[in-house]
Amino acid sequence: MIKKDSFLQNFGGNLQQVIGLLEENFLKEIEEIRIRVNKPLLLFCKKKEYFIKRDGKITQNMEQAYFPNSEDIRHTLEKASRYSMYAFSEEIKNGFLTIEGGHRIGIVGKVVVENGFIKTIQNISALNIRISHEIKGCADFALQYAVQKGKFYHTLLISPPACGKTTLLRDMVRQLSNGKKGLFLGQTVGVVDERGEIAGCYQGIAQNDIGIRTDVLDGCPKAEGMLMLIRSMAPRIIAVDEIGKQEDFLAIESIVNAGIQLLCTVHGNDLKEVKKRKILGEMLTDGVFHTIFVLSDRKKTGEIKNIYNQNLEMIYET
Amino acid sequence: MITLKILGAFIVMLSCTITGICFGKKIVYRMEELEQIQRGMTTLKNEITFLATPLPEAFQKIAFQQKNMLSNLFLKTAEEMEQRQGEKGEEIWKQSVLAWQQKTYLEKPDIDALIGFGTSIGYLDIAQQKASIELLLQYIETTLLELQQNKKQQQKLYPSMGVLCGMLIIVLLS
Repeated sequence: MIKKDSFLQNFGGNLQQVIGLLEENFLKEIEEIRIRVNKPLLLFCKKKEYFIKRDGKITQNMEQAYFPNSEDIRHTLEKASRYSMYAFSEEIKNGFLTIEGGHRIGIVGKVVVENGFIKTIQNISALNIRISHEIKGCADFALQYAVQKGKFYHTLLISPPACGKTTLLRDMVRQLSNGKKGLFLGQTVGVVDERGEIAGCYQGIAQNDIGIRTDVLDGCPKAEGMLMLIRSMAPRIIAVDEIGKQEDFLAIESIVNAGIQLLCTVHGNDLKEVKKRKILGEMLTDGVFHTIFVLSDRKKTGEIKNIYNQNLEMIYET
Repeated sequence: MITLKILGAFIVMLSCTITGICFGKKIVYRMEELEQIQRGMTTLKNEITFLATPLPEAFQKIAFQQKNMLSNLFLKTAEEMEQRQGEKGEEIWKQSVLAWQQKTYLEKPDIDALIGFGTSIGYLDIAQQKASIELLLQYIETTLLELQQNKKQQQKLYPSMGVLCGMLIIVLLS
């Protein structure tokens, strides 16, 4: 959900005015804003694409759209980073920065490489502002399957990009941490929030509601973070977003061995595709994950298409 | 009548001497303020290079730690940065410095150096932020050294000038 005033503060140049003129109801529903130099200003809302005119009205006609310039982008970045781009240099190396409210700004431009490593990004030519949505209760349905007899087991969420996997994960974390009367007790949850999307930490404080028994390691690489959490906070459940690197799987092995339950997400369109991946595929066939959810990109954000059990048998289909 | 004249002469003498002493003190106050900036900026350099703290937070932190003239400048800048009062960090810094300088004993070159630091605020990497703070610190160091040499001389000069001016006025008036 967007807090209008604090959200608009992040835009510089003409963009602050243009986006400030958008209708409030519309602003609340935005999923993505795409700003490219000398290309029409685009906005995604309810899975549809719109152009934005200079007066904040939406249109389907490209000619009428507002065309941002490089100054707009430069000032937007300067303001979004609170005039402290240097403070985000580590994040910029990964191509994005997280702003107040847990929203994420993706960046592309000229990449500066030093000794084979990415040093920074210069002459930034396009931004993608992804608005973080907090939908409380969206995990109600999923938890009916993930929690069996009051106990939560290893769970994997498979989802195409921008289909609400982080939103679902966040609500699962919140509910698992708070507990649900009559169904399960609240448990200590550790979150490794590498990209700052789950908790949306701003100055170290979670901006999103992630429950009362949740500890967040903000901005920490997933693999190291998971091991750190085991040692430091003794969680019952560890939640991470977008696993994929080899070291992530090594850390997952430690978690599973330590008897901690894992809740994680991965990019993918369906189980068949994910099964082909090397390490993750093996884990799936070994039956590490008790419940596997596949999210749909068709209708609503966060809608579950299929659910599979430990033996990879489909137990639910829309 | 004569008592009144003596009293008048005494008042003139006294005020001129005090003015002289105050002028002499000005250099001491300026030095104190430069030292405050030196301390503040050194801390800021550490905050930026070791902790990569964003500017508004760093300014606030230092302001609460040090509680001096510089704190006012840092707090004002932090506040305006939090509210995103300008398109560029540089502008915000410059405006805050210009508003703040009226309450200080700093002179134009000092203010110029402070504003100069602001030109690199925002869109740069840590190394460049560090370099620009170091430039400012270097300026302060050389200025302080110069002032130290002139201090004794000036502290004597101004009070004596005050006394002499007082005498001159009394002679002219009588």
